[in-house]
Amino acid sequence: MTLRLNASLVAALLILGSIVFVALFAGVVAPYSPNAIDAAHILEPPSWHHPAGTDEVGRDLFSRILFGARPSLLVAFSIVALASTGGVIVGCASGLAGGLIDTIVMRLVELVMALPGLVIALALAAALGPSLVNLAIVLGLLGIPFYARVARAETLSLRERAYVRGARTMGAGTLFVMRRHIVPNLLPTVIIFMSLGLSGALLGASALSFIGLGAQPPLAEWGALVNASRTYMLDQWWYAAFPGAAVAVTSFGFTLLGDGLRDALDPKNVKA
Amino acid sequence: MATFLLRRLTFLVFVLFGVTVVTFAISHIVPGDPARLLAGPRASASQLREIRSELGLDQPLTTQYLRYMKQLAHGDLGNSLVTGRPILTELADRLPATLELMFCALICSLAVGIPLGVLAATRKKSWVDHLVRAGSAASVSVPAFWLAPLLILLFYSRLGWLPGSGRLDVDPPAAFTGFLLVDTLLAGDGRAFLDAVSHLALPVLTLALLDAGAVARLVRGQMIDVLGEDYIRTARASGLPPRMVIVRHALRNALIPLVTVLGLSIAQMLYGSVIIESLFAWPGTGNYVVTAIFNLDFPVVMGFALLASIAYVGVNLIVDLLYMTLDPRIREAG
Repeated sequence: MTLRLNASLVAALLILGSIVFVALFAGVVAPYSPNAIDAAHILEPPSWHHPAGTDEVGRDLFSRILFGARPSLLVAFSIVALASTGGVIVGCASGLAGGLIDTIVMRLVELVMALPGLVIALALAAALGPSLVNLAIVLGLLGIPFYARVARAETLSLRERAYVRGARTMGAGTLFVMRRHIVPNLLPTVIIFMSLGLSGALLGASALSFIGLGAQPPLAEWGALVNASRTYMLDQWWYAAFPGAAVAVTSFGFTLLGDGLRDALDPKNVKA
Repeated sequence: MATFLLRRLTFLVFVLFGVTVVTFAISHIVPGDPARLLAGPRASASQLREIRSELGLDQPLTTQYLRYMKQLAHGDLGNSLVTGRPILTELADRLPATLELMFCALICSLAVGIPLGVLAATRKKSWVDHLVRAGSAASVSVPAFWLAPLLILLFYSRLGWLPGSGRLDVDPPAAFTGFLLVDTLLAGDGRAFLDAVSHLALPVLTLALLDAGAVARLVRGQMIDVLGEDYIRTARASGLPPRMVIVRHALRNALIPLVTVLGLSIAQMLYGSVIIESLFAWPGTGNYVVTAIFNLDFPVVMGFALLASIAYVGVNLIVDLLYMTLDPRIREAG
């Protein structure tokens, strides 16, 4: 597996690199505290002092967006981590078990995939009560079937390889075969799907936050920031424009990463 | 073909059963106290007791589920906590507005996405291709809750070209279908028709821009695959004009999977319209649900989720059937 850099990949690494940097060092980079109220400077347009303007209680939006990178990225990564780990375990186990178990698991996977995921997520998040953690769990669980299907398909082809059959003949147990031979070999495929999934996870989570089902004030999460800006949409353009742009740029970076990885790794392995 | 149909229909029954189990679980099991959620935050202790016995929440889950199914079979989704009206009626009243919006957006998205996808595929690795690819990557990355405010700011607030909210500013025509484009024409009211079109313009543009990128991406991929097939080379070798090869041979085959794209687009819009409608104050089902979430009107959220799921499953069935009629290979494979 050789990784040749291409234009998409380089652009993605530049974009995402700077955003992760900002998220990690928000405390150093941001000019103000994200929650510092300043009654003298309410709803000010962008200026040298406040590059992205201020909100209805005078908080610096630029700082809030920088700090907002933390919860926004963390939720996106958690969703994809939960979905892919769960999916790989379910898919591998199902593929290796075969028979009736495999049939039942795959029917359930198809069932969940036949549902409109984000609408179900909306109802689930409403039932659990608004919180960023609930949101991550809900979206992560709903993503499992997607990875399970990919992992199972790979497992079915891998388990017929000579080295896997050999290991089994030598008496290796299912868990050992899974850990040693199957999972490492299906990782490249799963990684491509993960990078494509990050964009969807970020968009889905920030959209639910925007509706009010995720991050709660005063936490500066990007979707919640746009939600807070709704009253001021027409007169204070910067309030919605900058936090929304942060979501768009990050999500664009994830999309480029997925595209770039797909082109860089063997393109025959993955069909969109 | 018969076995394929039978398998699809069996799966449909299975999925519909699954939908009800999922919505039942979300409304009856997931919340710590379903009665409180269903009664709303302002309910008193005696009201809660009443709701608990009324819904049978003290009974075993299987009994509760059967009750739930029986109510659904009667079209009873419960009543809105805010208006007290049946949820099914409330949603049905708002459905035409949503369908009109989604239908127009779908047409626009396909009208832009398909030609761009074909163009990019036939000029692979040219600047056109790079432009379309970058554009579609941007289109699938942009959040709806950002694009909509930006378009409203530009076309409504700054330029004043288009209205930024609502469906109509003039007196509505007599309602026959609930679709304003149809009703205004039936009433012969040209002014109202133009007004309806101008109100549709921005929300449709937003939804279509968000979806066209995905369509272009998929069409491009399919086209490139088909253009590499032997029969395309044969058609070219036998001297057919390039235009004819692309339209008659390649596009026709590349468009078959587009039926699937249609299904995906509708799913995307089902959700996208929730946010778009809320931002454009569009009086449809999506806007209604966002308001319900804000008002903690939980039964409405559940009713919407159930109906949207059933609609989605139905769309997917139609997509599968279309697929089968269009592609003989699938029919044979059964």
